[in-house]
Amino acid sequence: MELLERYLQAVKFWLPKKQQDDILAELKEDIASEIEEKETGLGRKMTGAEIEALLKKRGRPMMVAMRFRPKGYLIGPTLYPMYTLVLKIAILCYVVPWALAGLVLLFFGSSHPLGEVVGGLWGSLWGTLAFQFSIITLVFAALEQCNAKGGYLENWNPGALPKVRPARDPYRVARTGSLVEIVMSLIFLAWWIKMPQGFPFAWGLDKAGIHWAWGSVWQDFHHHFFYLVIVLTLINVCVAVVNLIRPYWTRPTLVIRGTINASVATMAYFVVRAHWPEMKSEWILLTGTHPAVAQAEMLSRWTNLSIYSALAISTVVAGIQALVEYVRAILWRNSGSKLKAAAALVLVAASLGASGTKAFPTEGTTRNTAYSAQLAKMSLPAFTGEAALSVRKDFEITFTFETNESWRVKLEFQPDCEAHGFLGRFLSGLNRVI
Amino acid sequence: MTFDSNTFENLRLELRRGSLVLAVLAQLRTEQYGYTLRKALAEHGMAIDEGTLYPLLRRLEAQGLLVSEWREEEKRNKRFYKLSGDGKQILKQLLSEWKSIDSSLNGIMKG
Repeated sequence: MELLERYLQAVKFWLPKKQQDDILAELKEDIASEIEEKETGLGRKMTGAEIEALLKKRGRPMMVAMRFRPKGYLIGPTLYPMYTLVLKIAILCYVVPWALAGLVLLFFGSSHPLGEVVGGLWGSLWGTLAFQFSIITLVFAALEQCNAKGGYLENWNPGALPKVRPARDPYRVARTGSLVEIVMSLIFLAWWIKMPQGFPFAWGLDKAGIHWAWGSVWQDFHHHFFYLVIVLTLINVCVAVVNLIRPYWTRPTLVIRGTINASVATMAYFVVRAHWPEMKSEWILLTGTHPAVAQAEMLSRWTNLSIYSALAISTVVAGIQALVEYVRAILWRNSGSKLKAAAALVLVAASLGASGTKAFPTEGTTRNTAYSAQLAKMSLPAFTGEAALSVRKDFEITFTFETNESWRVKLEFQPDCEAHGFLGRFLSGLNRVI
Repeated sequence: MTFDSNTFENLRLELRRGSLVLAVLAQLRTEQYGYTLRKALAEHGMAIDEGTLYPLLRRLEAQGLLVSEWREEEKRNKRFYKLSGDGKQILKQLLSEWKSIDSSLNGIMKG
């Protein structure tokens, strides 16, 4: 019977204090009655193993005791759906920046200035998630208590229910969105073509005693991708015009938009990656007359960091958008196989990952020293020459400039298609487009 | 266990849960202690495990439907339960409700 006493002691631990003795006495009596009946049937005393089996069948002491406790909820079934919805939204708000930060770290590494900033953010994201979870749970627990006492959820007004939403076609494109896109693209195009003359917000800087000039990276970026950006923007305008006339995504428009985004991602990636040592200082140069020198320096630093970060984030966002658009094109109106879409996604991700690591190893990236010298000459009006950036021996990007009268830019990527997978094939395709 | 038998088992338990209260109240028209009550219910095809029965007895007592007292029987202290006056009234109402449900269901089944 020692085992029975041990069992009862364990049950007692979990019982409400005021009822402990009463419940235990009844439980003990019930078990004793069962043992007595079994022993009568067997015609002998029960063995230790038999008693153990009997107790095991009755259940774990904690579970037995819990049945005697009043049922209580931290968050009850009424509020639970709302609680999980809010948690999902909070987690989504966490997962998106977390994934973006992870991708930035993956591409640039933690030793990079941007990587350092994002690395700090990465650590704080976990704390943010735990904090959000605790606060949401506490708020809902408080709401549960209030509802249990006041039943405020029962007071509601049917008249305040939202209007019935018309069924929305997920492939419909809002005409206003297309219109805004056309206008914004054209404004951007005008600015891009006339960029050397400045940009609107800089005009006011002179009054504050701050003078601005394009940094070498901006100039380099503008010179190299001048026509490519124009072509991509014009194609984008054409897609927006088609969407304005016929406001539904089609497979061709989705593929074109996906390709534009993939091109933007690749272009931004190459620029960010190729120029990373200068990125934070040479996008734009701001100089100030006394006493605005300090102000100009600070403004210059922050502007460059912002441009740099924006471009790095654009790389990731445009890449994700491209993937989403390709998948939507494959799954267009549920006509495609989800398996095919998933396979395509995996292949694209694997090719990008393989290409990225092969083409841009963390260590061993080489730069053609002549490149910087060539770039310095770019501002000369009659410069004709060739600037080559060798990222890796077997992966060369050549920029040819002919700048006698007008700028003509030739981009030539020489990837080894076999070695660089999807990225290699993509760049080969880009060569043909250019 | 297959999906279907799981579904059936869950629905069966749900259906049985309400009937158990009725069975316990009906059985306690005559005074009994926990173990004999459990055995009597099992003999009538309403088996109930002790983990369900004793908390239920306490809840019904707290609601004033049962009364209990500790008494010595066969050299052991046992707690005897029986229906209270309110319990008898409630049992009558519940049985009437049960019959009404049964009749409605029969009507539905006959179409």
